[in-house]
Amino acid sequence: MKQLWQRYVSFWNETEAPETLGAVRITFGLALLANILEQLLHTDVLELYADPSAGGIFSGTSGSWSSIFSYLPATAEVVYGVAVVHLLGALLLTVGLFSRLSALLALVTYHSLAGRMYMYRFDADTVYLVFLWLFVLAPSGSWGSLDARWRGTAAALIPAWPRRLMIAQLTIIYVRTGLIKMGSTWSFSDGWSALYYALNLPGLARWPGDWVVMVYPLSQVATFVAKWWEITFLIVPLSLYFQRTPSHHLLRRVLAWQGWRPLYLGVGMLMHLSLILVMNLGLFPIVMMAVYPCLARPEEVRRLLQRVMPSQPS
Amino acid sequence: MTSRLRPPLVALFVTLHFLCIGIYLLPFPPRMDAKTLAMPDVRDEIHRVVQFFQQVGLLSPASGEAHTQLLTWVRQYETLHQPMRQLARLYLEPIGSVQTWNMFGGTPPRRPRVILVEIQPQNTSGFQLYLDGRWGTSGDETFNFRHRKAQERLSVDGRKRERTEYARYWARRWNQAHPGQPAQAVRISFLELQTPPARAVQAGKPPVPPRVLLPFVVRL
Repeated sequence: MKQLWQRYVSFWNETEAPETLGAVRITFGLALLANILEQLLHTDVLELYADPSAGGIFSGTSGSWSSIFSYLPATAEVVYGVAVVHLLGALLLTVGLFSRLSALLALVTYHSLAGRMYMYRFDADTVYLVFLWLFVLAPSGSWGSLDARWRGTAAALIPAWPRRLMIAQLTIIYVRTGLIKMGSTWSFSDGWSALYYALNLPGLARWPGDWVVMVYPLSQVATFVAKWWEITFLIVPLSLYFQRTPSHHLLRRVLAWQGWRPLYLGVGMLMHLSLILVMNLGLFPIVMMAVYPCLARPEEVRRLLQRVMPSQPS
Repeated sequence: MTSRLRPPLVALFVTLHFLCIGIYLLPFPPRMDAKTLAMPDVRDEIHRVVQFFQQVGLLSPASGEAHTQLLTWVRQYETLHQPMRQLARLYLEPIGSVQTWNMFGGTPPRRPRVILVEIQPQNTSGFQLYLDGRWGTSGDETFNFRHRKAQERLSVDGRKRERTEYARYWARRWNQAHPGQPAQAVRISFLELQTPPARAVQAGKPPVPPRVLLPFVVRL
Protein backbone atom coordinates (compact mmCIF):
# COMPACT_ATOMS: atom_id res chain seq x y z
CA MET A 1 0.00 0.00 0.00
CA LYS A 2 2.83 2.33 0.96
CA GLN A 3 4.59 1.56 -2.31
CA LEU A 4 1.42 2.31 -4.25
CA TRP A 5 1.04 5.65 -2.49
CA GLN A 6 4.70 6.49 -3.21
CA ARG A 7 4.19 5.70 -6.89
CA TYR A 8 1.06 7.87 -6.87
CA VAL A 9 2.95 10.74 -5.22
CA SER A 10 5.82 10.37 -7.69
CA PHE A 11 3.44 10.44 -10.66
CA TRP A 12 1.89 13.72 -9.55
CA ASN A 13 5.30 15.25 -8.85
CA GLU A 14 6.96 14.58 -12.19
CA THR A 15 8.31 17.50 -14.15
CA GLU A 16 8.27 18.34 -17.85
CA ALA A 17 9.36 21.01 -20.34
CA PRO A 18 7.05 24.05 -20.33
CA GLU A 19 6.15 24.32 -24.05
CA THR A 20 2.76 22.58 -23.88
CA LEU A 21 1.50 24.57 -20.93
CA GLY A 22 2.67 27.76 -22.63
CA ALA A 23 0.90 26.80 -25.86
CA VAL A 24 -2.41 25.94 -24.16
CA ARG A 25 -2.21 29.21 -22.20
CA ILE A 26 -2.06 31.10 -25.51
CA THR A 27 -4.92 29.21 -27.21
CA PHE A 28 -7.10 29.32 -24.10
CA GLY A 29 -6.27 33.00 -23.55
CA LEU A 30 -7.38 33.79 -27.11
CA ALA A 31 -10.66 31.92 -26.55
CA LEU A 32 -11.16 33.87 -23.30
CA LEU A 33 -10.52 37.14 -25.12
CA ALA A 34 -13.02 36.15 -27.83
CA ASN A 35 -15.60 35.43 -25.14
CA ILE A 36 -15.40 38.80 -23.40
CA LEU A 37 -15.10 40.69 -26.69
CA GLU A 38 -18.23 38.91 -27.96
CA GLN A 39 -20.07 40.14 -24.90
CA LEU A 40 -18.70 43.67 -25.08
CA LEU A 41 -19.26 44.09 -28.81
CA HIS A 42 -22.34 41.96 -29.57
CA THR A 43 -24.49 42.22 -26.46
CA ASP A 44 -25.36 44.82 -23.91
CA VAL A 45 -23.15 44.06 -20.92
CA LEU A 46 -25.40 46.08 -18.65
CA GLU A 47 -28.45 44.05 -19.71
CA LEU A 48 -26.60 40.87 -18.80
CA TYR A 49 -25.00 41.82 -15.51
CA ALA A 50 -26.31 45.08 -14.03
CA ASP A 51 -29.14 45.50 -11.58
CA PRO A 52 -32.48 46.42 -13.28
CA SER A 53 -32.15 49.95 -11.82
CA ALA A 54 -28.89 50.30 -13.78
CA GLY A 55 -30.09 48.87 -17.11
CA GLY A 56 -30.01 45.16 -16.31
CA ILE A 57 -32.79 42.69 -17.02
CA PHE A 58 -32.69 40.41 -13.97
CA SER A 59 -31.89 41.40 -10.40
CA GLY A 60 -29.81 38.22 -10.18
CA THR A 61 -27.75 37.15 -7.23
CA SER A 62 -24.47 38.35 -5.84
CA GLY A 63 -23.06 34.81 -6.10
CA SER A 64 -20.66 33.24 -3.62
CA TRP A 65 -18.42 35.03 -1.11
CA SER A 66 -15.65 35.04 -3.71
CA SER A 67 -17.72 37.22 -6.06
CA ILE A 68 -16.97 40.92 -6.33
CA PHE A 69 -20.73 41.55 -6.31
CA SER A 70 -20.92 40.26 -2.74
CA TYR A 71 -19.14 43.47 -1.78
CA LEU A 72 -20.06 45.97 -4.51
CA PRO A 73 -23.47 46.79 -6.03
CA ALA A 74 -24.11 45.87 -9.67
CA THR A 75 -24.18 49.46 -10.91
CA ALA A 76 -23.20 50.38 -14.46
CA GLU A 77 -19.77 51.61 -13.34
CA VAL A 78 -19.00 48.46 -11.34
CA VAL A 79 -20.21 46.12 -14.11
CA TYR A 80 -18.16 47.90 -16.77
CA GLY A 81 -15.21 48.01 -14.37
CA VAL A 82 -15.37 44.25 -13.74
CA ALA A 83 -15.76 43.53 -17.48
CA VAL A 84 -12.76 45.72 -18.35
CA VAL A 85 -10.60 44.15 -15.61
CA HIS A 86 -11.64 40.74 -16.97
CA LEU A 87 -10.62 41.80 -20.47
CA LEU A 88 -7.27 42.97 -19.07
CA GLY A 89 -6.79 39.68 -17.21
CA ALA A 90 -7.55 37.69 -20.38
CA LEU A 91 -5.13 39.82 -22.39
CA LEU A 92 -2.33 39.49 -19.83
CA LEU A 93 -2.89 35.74 -19.58
CA THR A 94 -2.67 35.39 -23.36
CA VAL A 95 0.64 37.29 -23.59
CA GLY A 96 1.84 35.66 -20.38
CA LEU A 97 2.52 38.68 -18.23
CA PHE A 98 2.17 37.87 -14.51
CA SER A 99 0.47 34.72 -15.79
CA ARG A 100 -0.83 33.31 -12.50
CA LEU A 101 -2.01 36.67 -11.24
CA SER A 102 -3.67 37.36 -14.61
CA ALA A 103 -5.44 34.01 -14.44
CA LEU A 104 -6.62 34.82 -10.91
CA LEU A 105 -7.84 38.24 -12.04
CA ALA A 106 -9.68 36.72 -14.98
CA LEU A 107 -11.14 33.97 -12.74
CA VAL A 108 -12.43 36.28 -10.00
CA THR A 109 -14.00 38.67 -12.50
CA TYR A 110 -15.52 35.88 -14.64
CA HIS A 111 -16.82 34.09 -11.54
CA SER A 112 -18.40 37.33 -10.36
CA LEU A 113 -20.06 37.99 -13.72
CA ALA A 114 -21.18 34.37 -14.12
CA GLY A 115 -22.71 34.46 -10.62
CA ARG A 116 -24.70 37.56 -11.58
CA MET A 117 -25.97 36.13 -14.85
CA TYR A 118 -27.25 32.78 -13.65
CA MET A 119 -30.22 33.14 -16.00
CA TYR A 120 -27.95 33.33 -19.06
CA ARG A 121 -25.22 31.02 -17.93
CA PHE A 122 -24.43 28.00 -20.08
CA ASP A 123 -21.82 25.28 -20.17
CA ALA A 124 -19.13 27.27 -22.02
CA ASP A 125 -18.97 29.60 -18.99
CA THR A 126 -18.24 26.62 -16.77
CA VAL A 127 -15.52 25.39 -19.16
CA TYR A 128 -13.83 28.80 -18.97
CA LEU A 129 -14.08 28.90 -15.18
CA VAL A 130 -12.76 25.40 -14.46
CA PHE A 131 -9.76 25.91 -16.73
CA LEU A 132 -9.07 29.37 -15.33
CA TRP A 133 -8.68 27.81 -11.89
CA LEU A 134 -6.19 25.32 -13.35
CA PHE A 135 -4.25 28.23 -14.87
CA VAL A 136 -4.11 29.85 -11.43
CA LEU A 137 -2.40 26.66 -10.24
CA ALA A 138 -0.14 26.27 -13.28
CA PRO A 139 3.21 27.96 -14.01
CA SER A 140 1.98 28.63 -17.54
CA GLY A 141 4.14 31.71 -18.02
CA SER A 142 7.34 29.66 -18.13
CA TRP A 143 7.37 29.56 -21.93
CA GLY A 144 6.12 31.69 -24.83
CA SER A 145 5.35 34.54 -22.48
CA LEU A 146 6.44 38.01 -21.51
CA ASP A 147 7.20 36.55 -18.07
CA ALA A 148 9.81 34.22 -19.62
CA ARG A 149 11.23 36.97 -21.83
CA TRP A 150 11.42 39.28 -18.84
CA ARG A 151 13.31 36.73 -16.79
CA GLY A 152 15.61 36.16 -19.76
CA THR A 153 16.31 32.60 -18.69
CA ALA A 154 15.89 29.45 -20.76
CA ALA A 155 12.73 27.50 -20.06
CA ALA A 156 13.26 25.25 -17.05
CA LEU A 157 11.38 22.11 -16.11
CA ILE A 158 8.00 22.75 -14.52
CA PRO A 159 5.61 20.52 -12.54
CA ALA A 160 3.57 18.26 -14.83
CA TRP A 161 0.53 17.97 -12.54
CA PRO A 162 -1.28 21.16 -13.60
CA ARG A 163 -1.30 20.02 -17.25
CA ARG A 164 -2.35 16.55 -16.17
CA LEU A 165 -5.25 18.10 -14.29
CA MET A 166 -6.19 19.88 -17.52
CA ILE A 167 -6.15 16.58 -19.43
CA ALA A 168 -8.25 15.01 -16.67
CA GLN A 169 -10.69 17.93 -16.73
CA LEU A 170 -11.11 17.71 -20.51
CA THR A 171 -11.72 13.97 -20.16
CA ILE A 172 -14.20 14.51 -17.32
CA ILE A 173 -16.20 16.95 -19.46
CA TYR A 174 -16.51 14.55 -22.37
CA VAL A 175 -17.00 11.32 -20.43
CA ARG A 176 -19.61 12.82 -18.08
CA THR A 177 -21.44 14.38 -21.02
CA GLY A 178 -21.44 11.01 -22.75
CA LEU A 179 -22.55 9.06 -19.67
CA ILE A 180 -25.46 11.40 -18.98
CA LYS A 181 -26.81 10.75 -22.47
CA MET A 182 -28.90 7.96 -21.01
CA GLY A 183 -32.19 9.00 -22.59
CA SER A 184 -33.95 6.81 -25.09
CA THR A 185 -33.04 9.03 -28.07
CA TRP A 186 -29.37 8.35 -27.43
CA SER A 187 -29.84 4.61 -27.84
CA PHE A 188 -31.31 1.98 -30.14
CA SER A 189 -34.58 2.13 -28.14
CA ASP A 190 -35.53 5.36 -29.91
CA GLY A 191 -33.51 4.87 -33.06
CA TRP A 192 -30.50 7.07 -32.20
CA SER A 193 -32.67 10.11 -32.88
CA ALA A 194 -31.11 12.58 -30.38
CA LEU A 195 -29.31 14.70 -32.96
CA TYR A 196 -32.48 14.87 -35.07
CA TYR A 197 -34.36 16.32 -32.06
CA ALA A 198 -31.44 18.59 -31.06
CA LEU A 199 -31.31 20.05 -34.57
CA ASN A 200 -35.01 20.82 -34.28
CA LEU A 201 -34.60 22.99 -31.18
CA PRO A 202 -35.39 26.63 -31.95
CA GLY A 203 -32.70 28.86 -30.53
CA LEU A 204 -30.02 26.20 -30.42
CA ALA A 205 -30.20 24.99 -34.01
CA ARG A 206 -29.15 27.58 -36.55
CA TRP A 207 -31.91 26.77 -39.04
CA PRO A 208 -35.37 25.21 -38.96
CA GLY A 209 -34.88 21.48 -38.63
CA ASP A 210 -36.84 20.41 -41.74
CA TRP A 211 -33.60 19.50 -43.55
CA VAL A 212 -32.53 16.97 -40.88
CA VAL A 213 -35.17 14.46 -41.93
CA MET A 214 -33.53 14.32 -45.37
CA VAL A 215 -30.24 13.21 -43.80
CA TYR A 216 -31.83 11.25 -40.97
CA PRO A 217 -29.60 8.14 -41.31
CA LEU A 218 -26.53 10.39 -41.17
CA SER A 219 -27.89 12.08 -38.03
CA GLN A 220 -28.37 8.61 -36.48
CA VAL A 221 -24.75 7.69 -37.21
CA ALA A 222 -23.60 11.05 -35.82
CA THR A 223 -25.67 10.47 -32.66
CA PHE A 224 -24.06 7.08 -32.12
CA VAL A 225 -20.54 8.37 -32.82
CA ALA A 226 -20.95 11.48 -30.62
CA LYS A 227 -22.18 9.48 -27.61
CA TRP A 228 -19.58 6.74 -27.80
CA TRP A 229 -16.74 9.10 -28.72
CA GLU A 230 -17.52 11.06 -25.54
CA ILE A 231 -17.86 8.04 -23.28
CA THR A 232 -14.66 6.44 -24.55
CA PHE A 233 -12.60 9.64 -24.51
CA LEU A 234 -10.95 8.15 -21.41
CA ILE A 235 -8.84 6.16 -23.88
CA VAL A 236 -6.84 9.32 -24.70
CA PRO A 237 -5.29 9.93 -21.24
CA LEU A 238 -4.91 6.18 -20.72
CA SER A 239 -3.07 5.97 -24.02
CA LEU A 240 -0.73 8.81 -23.02
CA TYR A 241 -0.09 7.03 -19.70
CA PHE A 242 0.63 3.60 -21.15
CA GLN A 243 2.89 5.01 -23.88
CA ARG A 244 5.34 5.96 -21.11
CA THR A 245 6.41 2.40 -20.43
CA PRO A 246 6.32 -0.48 -22.94
CA SER A 247 4.36 -3.51 -21.79
CA HIS A 248 3.65 -7.04 -23.02
CA HIS A 249 0.14 -6.96 -21.58
CA LEU A 250 -2.29 -7.03 -24.53
CA LEU A 251 -4.77 -4.43 -23.22
CA ARG A 252 -1.95 -2.04 -22.30
CA ARG A 253 -0.41 -2.46 -25.73
CA VAL A 254 -3.76 -1.72 -27.39
CA LEU A 255 -4.26 1.34 -25.22
CA ALA A 256 -0.70 2.51 -25.90
CA TRP A 257 -1.40 2.67 -29.64
CA GLN A 258 -0.05 5.99 -30.97
CA GLY A 259 -3.10 6.48 -33.17
CA TRP A 260 -5.70 6.97 -30.41
CA ARG A 261 -4.87 10.59 -29.72
CA PRO A 262 -4.96 11.87 -33.34
CA LEU A 263 -8.09 9.79 -33.95
CA TYR A 264 -9.99 11.17 -30.96
CA LEU A 265 -8.80 14.73 -31.49
CA GLY A 266 -9.66 14.52 -35.19
CA VAL A 267 -13.20 13.36 -34.44
CA GLY A 268 -13.44 16.02 -31.71
CA MET A 269 -12.41 18.79 -34.09
CA LEU A 270 -14.86 17.53 -36.72
CA MET A 271 -17.64 17.38 -34.14
CA HIS A 272 -17.00 20.87 -32.78
CA LEU A 273 -16.59 22.43 -36.23
CA SER A 274 -19.86 20.78 -37.34
CA LEU A 275 -21.52 22.14 -34.19
CA ILE A 276 -20.37 25.65 -35.11
CA LEU A 277 -22.03 25.18 -38.51
CA VAL A 278 -25.37 23.75 -37.42
CA MET A 279 -25.91 24.97 -33.85
CA ASN A 280 -25.64 28.23 -31.99
CA LEU A 281 -23.80 27.27 -28.81
CA GLY A 282 -21.88 30.48 -28.37
CA LEU A 283 -18.18 29.94 -27.80
CA PHE A 284 -18.53 26.42 -26.42
CA PRO A 285 -16.94 24.62 -29.41
CA ILE A 286 -14.18 27.25 -29.54
CA VAL A 287 -13.14 26.95 -25.90
CA MET A 288 -13.21 23.15 -26.07
CA MET A 289 -10.85 23.14 -29.05
CA ALA A 290 -8.74 25.81 -27.36
CA VAL A 291 -7.78 23.40 -24.57
CA TYR A 292 -6.89 20.53 -26.94
CA PRO A 293 -3.18 21.55 -27.02
CA CYS A 294 -2.90 20.32 -23.42
CA LEU A 295 -2.81 16.82 -24.94
CA ALA A 296 0.37 17.53 -26.91
CA ARG A 297 3.78 16.55 -25.58
CA PRO A 298 6.26 19.41 -25.05
CA GLU A 299 8.55 18.02 -27.76
CA GLU A 300 5.62 17.95 -30.21
CA VAL A 301 4.93 21.63 -29.56
CA ARG A 302 8.65 22.36 -30.03
CA ARG A 303 8.72 20.42 -33.34
CA LEU A 304 5.59 22.17 -34.62
CA LEU A 305 7.03 25.53 -33.74
CA GLN A 306 10.29 24.75 -35.51
CA ARG A 307 8.33 23.77 -38.59
CA VAL A 308 6.24 26.96 -38.52
CA MET A 309 9.05 29.27 -37.40
CA PRO A 310 12.37 27.69 -38.50
CA SER A 311 14.37 30.56 -36.94
CA GLN A 312 13.10 29.59 -33.47
CA PRO A 313 15.94 28.20 -31.29
CA SER A 314 15.42 24.56 -30.33
CA MET B 1 6.90 24.64 2.40
CA THR B 2 9.81 22.22 2.76
CA SER B 3 10.70 20.17 -0.30
CA ARG B 4 10.00 16.97 1.67
CA LEU B 5 6.39 17.94 2.37
CA ARG B 6 5.60 19.29 -1.05
CA PRO B 7 5.21 16.00 -3.03
CA PRO B 8 2.63 14.37 -0.72
CA LEU B 9 0.76 17.66 -0.41
CA VAL B 10 0.54 17.97 -4.19
CA ALA B 11 -0.80 14.40 -4.38
CA LEU B 12 -3.31 15.09 -1.59
CA PHE B 13 -4.50 18.28 -3.24
CA VAL B 14 -4.98 16.56 -6.61
CA THR B 15 -6.90 13.76 -4.89
CA LEU B 16 -9.17 16.21 -3.07
CA HIS B 17 -9.77 18.08 -6.33
CA PHE B 18 -10.80 14.88 -8.14
CA LEU B 19 -12.89 13.69 -5.21
CA CYS B 20 -14.91 16.91 -5.08
CA ILE B 21 -15.48 16.92 -8.85
CA GLY B 22 -16.33 13.21 -8.83
CA ILE B 23 -18.94 13.60 -6.09
CA TYR B 24 -20.44 16.59 -7.83
CA LEU B 25 -20.64 14.78 -11.14
CA LEU B 26 -22.62 11.78 -9.93
CA PRO B 27 -25.86 11.95 -11.93
CA PHE B 28 -28.90 13.44 -10.23
CA PRO B 29 -32.41 14.37 -11.35
CA PRO B 30 -32.68 18.17 -11.64
CA ARG B 31 -36.19 18.27 -10.13
CA MET B 32 -38.42 15.66 -8.56
CA ASP B 33 -41.52 17.73 -7.74
CA ALA B 34 -44.97 16.67 -8.91
CA LYS B 35 -45.20 19.44 -11.53
CA THR B 36 -41.93 18.42 -13.20
CA LEU B 37 -42.86 14.74 -13.12
CA ALA B 38 -46.16 15.61 -14.81
CA MET B 39 -44.46 17.40 -17.74
CA PRO B 40 -45.12 15.45 -20.97
CA ASP B 41 -41.42 15.14 -21.90
CA VAL B 42 -40.47 13.93 -18.40
CA ARG B 43 -43.48 11.60 -18.19
CA ASP B 44 -42.67 10.05 -21.59
CA GLU B 45 -39.02 9.55 -20.70
CA ILE B 46 -39.83 7.92 -17.32
CA HIS B 47 -42.32 5.68 -19.10
CA ARG B 48 -39.64 4.55 -21.56
CA VAL B 49 -37.12 3.91 -18.76
CA VAL B 50 -39.70 1.90 -16.78
CA GLN B 51 -40.49 -0.15 -19.89
CA PHE B 52 -36.78 -0.84 -20.41
CA PHE B 53 -36.25 -1.93 -16.78
CA GLN B 54 -39.34 -4.14 -17.02
CA GLN B 55 -38.03 -5.76 -20.18
CA VAL B 56 -34.71 -6.62 -18.53
CA GLY B 57 -36.51 -7.83 -15.38
CA LEU B 58 -35.24 -5.18 -12.98
CA LEU B 59 -38.71 -3.79 -12.29
CA SER B 60 -42.04 -5.38 -11.58
CA PRO B 61 -44.22 -5.91 -14.69
CA ALA B 62 -47.17 -4.08 -13.03
CA SER B 63 -46.91 -0.62 -14.56
CA GLY B 64 -47.99 1.59 -11.61
CA GLU B 65 -45.89 -0.37 -9.13
CA ALA B 66 -42.81 -0.19 -11.37
CA HIS B 67 -43.17 3.55 -11.74
CA THR B 68 -43.37 4.04 -7.95
CA GLN B 69 -40.43 1.68 -7.40
CA LEU B 70 -38.23 3.63 -9.83
CA LEU B 71 -39.06 6.98 -8.20
CA THR B 72 -38.38 5.49 -4.75
CA TRP B 73 -34.91 4.38 -5.89
CA VAL B 74 -34.14 7.82 -7.30
CA ARG B 75 -35.33 9.55 -4.10
CA GLN B 76 -33.23 7.21 -1.91
CA TYR B 77 -30.19 7.96 -4.04
CA GLU B 78 -30.91 11.68 -3.74
CA THR B 79 -30.99 11.42 0.08
CA LEU B 80 -27.46 10.03 0.05
CA HIS B 81 -26.07 12.15 -2.73
CA GLN B 82 -27.25 15.63 -1.68
CA PRO B 83 -25.22 15.98 1.58
CA MET B 84 -22.06 14.81 -0.24
CA ARG B 85 -22.65 17.39 -2.97
CA GLN B 86 -22.95 20.15 -0.36
CA LEU B 87 -19.59 19.13 1.08
CA ALA B 88 -17.87 19.13 -2.33
CA ARG B 89 -19.43 22.51 -3.05
CA LEU B 90 -17.46 24.07 -0.19
CA TYR B 91 -14.33 23.70 -2.34
CA LEU B 92 -15.81 24.04 -5.83
CA GLU B 93 -18.08 27.05 -5.35
CA PRO B 94 -15.49 29.73 -4.40
CA ILE B 95 -13.22 28.74 -7.31
CA GLY B 96 -16.09 28.73 -9.82
CA SER B 97 -15.65 25.03 -10.57
CA VAL B 98 -19.15 23.75 -9.76
CA GLN B 99 -19.77 21.56 -12.79
CA THR B 100 -22.41 19.17 -14.04
CA TRP B 101 -22.01 18.74 -17.84
CA ASN B 102 -25.54 17.77 -18.85
CA MET B 103 -25.31 18.86 -22.49
CA PHE B 104 -28.24 17.27 -24.35
CA GLY B 105 -28.61 14.67 -21.62
CA GLY B 106 -30.67 12.59 -20.81
CA THR B 107 -32.45 13.44 -24.08
CA PRO B 108 -33.04 16.57 -26.20
CA PRO B 109 -36.63 17.80 -25.75
CA ARG B 110 -39.21 16.54 -28.21
CA ARG B 111 -41.48 19.44 -27.26
CA PRO B 112 -39.34 22.58 -27.35
CA ARG B 113 -40.83 25.79 -26.00
CA VAL B 114 -40.43 29.22 -27.57
CA ILE B 115 -41.31 32.56 -26.06
CA LEU B 116 -44.14 34.88 -27.06
CA VAL B 117 -44.18 38.46 -25.76
CA GLU B 118 -47.38 40.44 -26.16
CA ILE B 119 -47.89 44.07 -25.26
CA GLN B 120 -51.04 45.91 -24.34
CA PRO B 121 -50.46 49.60 -25.15
CA GLN B 122 -52.12 52.22 -22.95
CA ASN B 123 -55.79 52.99 -23.67
CA THR B 124 -56.26 49.80 -25.68
CA SER B 125 -58.12 46.66 -24.70
CA GLY B 126 -56.20 43.85 -26.40
CA PHE B 127 -52.68 42.47 -26.50
CA GLN B 128 -50.59 42.63 -29.65
CA LEU B 129 -47.76 40.26 -30.47
CA TYR B 130 -44.43 42.00 -30.02
CA LEU B 131 -41.98 39.16 -30.10
CA ASP B 132 -42.27 35.66 -31.47
CA GLY B 133 -39.48 33.22 -30.67
CA ARG B 134 -40.23 30.82 -33.50
CA TRP B 135 -37.78 30.27 -36.34
CA GLY B 136 -37.55 32.94 -39.00
CA THR B 137 -39.41 35.58 -37.00
CA SER B 138 -38.02 38.96 -36.05
CA GLY B 139 -37.80 37.74 -32.47
CA ASP B 140 -35.76 34.73 -33.47
CA GLU B 141 -33.29 36.89 -35.34
CA THR B 142 -32.79 39.36 -32.52
CA PHE B 143 -32.06 36.82 -29.83
CA ASN B 144 -28.53 36.32 -28.68
CA PHE B 145 -27.87 32.74 -27.55
CA ARG B 146 -27.71 33.94 -23.94
CA HIS B 147 -31.27 35.30 -24.22
CA ARG B 148 -32.35 31.90 -25.48
CA LYS B 149 -30.84 30.30 -22.40
CA ALA B 150 -32.73 32.71 -20.15
CA GLN B 151 -35.95 31.96 -22.02
CA GLU B 152 -35.35 28.23 -21.65
CA ARG B 153 -35.08 28.73 -17.88
CA LEU B 154 -38.22 30.89 -17.83
CA SER B 155 -40.13 28.29 -19.83
CA VAL B 156 -40.24 25.99 -16.81
CA ASP B 157 -42.94 26.89 -14.30
CA GLY B 158 -41.88 29.03 -11.33
CA ARG B 159 -39.38 31.91 -11.34
CA LYS B 160 -42.12 34.50 -10.82
CA ARG B 161 -39.64 37.27 -10.00
CA GLU B 162 -37.56 36.65 -13.11
CA ARG B 163 -40.68 36.51 -15.32
CA THR B 164 -41.81 39.87 -13.98
CA GLU B 165 -38.35 41.34 -14.58
CA TYR B 166 -38.26 39.94 -18.10
CA ALA B 167 -41.71 41.36 -18.85
CA ARG B 168 -40.63 44.77 -17.57
CA TYR B 169 -37.55 44.60 -19.79
CA TRP B 170 -39.68 44.04 -22.89
CA ALA B 171 -41.99 46.87 -21.78
CA ARG B 172 -38.96 49.17 -21.65
CA ARG B 173 -37.96 48.07 -25.15
CA TRP B 174 -41.51 48.65 -26.41
CA ASN B 175 -41.62 52.10 -24.80
CA GLN B 176 -38.34 53.09 -26.45
CA ALA B 177 -39.66 52.00 -29.85
CA HIS B 178 -43.15 53.51 -29.32
CA PRO B 179 -42.63 56.69 -27.29
CA GLY B 180 -46.18 57.96 -27.80
CA GLN B 181 -47.85 54.67 -26.90
CA PRO B 182 -46.34 53.25 -23.71
CA ALA B 183 -47.18 49.71 -22.58
CA GLN B 184 -49.70 49.20 -19.79
CA ALA B 185 -49.34 45.42 -19.58
CA VAL B 186 -47.07 42.67 -20.87
CA ARG B 187 -48.05 39.04 -21.38
CA ILE B 188 -45.31 36.43 -21.59
CA SER B 189 -46.24 32.93 -22.63
CA PHE B 190 -44.59 29.93 -24.22
CA LEU B 191 -45.53 28.06 -27.32
CA GLU B 192 -44.95 24.35 -26.95
CA LEU B 193 -44.02 22.97 -30.34
CA GLN B 194 -43.80 19.28 -31.06
CA THR B 195 -41.01 17.79 -33.13
CA PRO B 196 -42.60 14.83 -34.90
CA PRO B 197 -40.55 11.63 -35.10
CA ALA B 198 -38.60 11.43 -38.38
CA ARG B 199 -40.75 8.48 -39.49
CA ALA B 200 -43.92 10.57 -39.09
CA VAL B 201 -42.43 13.35 -41.22
CA GLN B 202 -41.32 10.86 -43.87
CA ALA B 203 -44.83 9.37 -43.89
CA GLY B 204 -46.25 12.86 -44.53
CA LYS B 205 -48.21 13.05 -41.27
CA PRO B 206 -49.44 16.58 -40.47
CA PRO B 207 -47.58 18.44 -37.69
CA VAL B 208 -49.13 18.61 -34.23
CA PRO B 209 -50.45 22.14 -33.59
CA PRO B 210 -48.54 24.04 -30.88
CA ARG B 211 -50.00 24.73 -27.42
CA VAL B 212 -49.78 28.02 -25.55
CA LEU B 213 -48.47 27.50 -22.02
CA LEU B 214 -47.82 29.46 -18.83
CA PRO B 215 -49.35 32.82 -19.77
CA PHE B 216 -48.11 35.42 -17.32
CA VAL B 217 -49.39 39.00 -17.29
CA VAL B 218 -47.55 41.91 -15.71
CA ARG B 219 -49.50 45.15 -15.32
CA LEU B 220 -47.26 48.19 -15.30
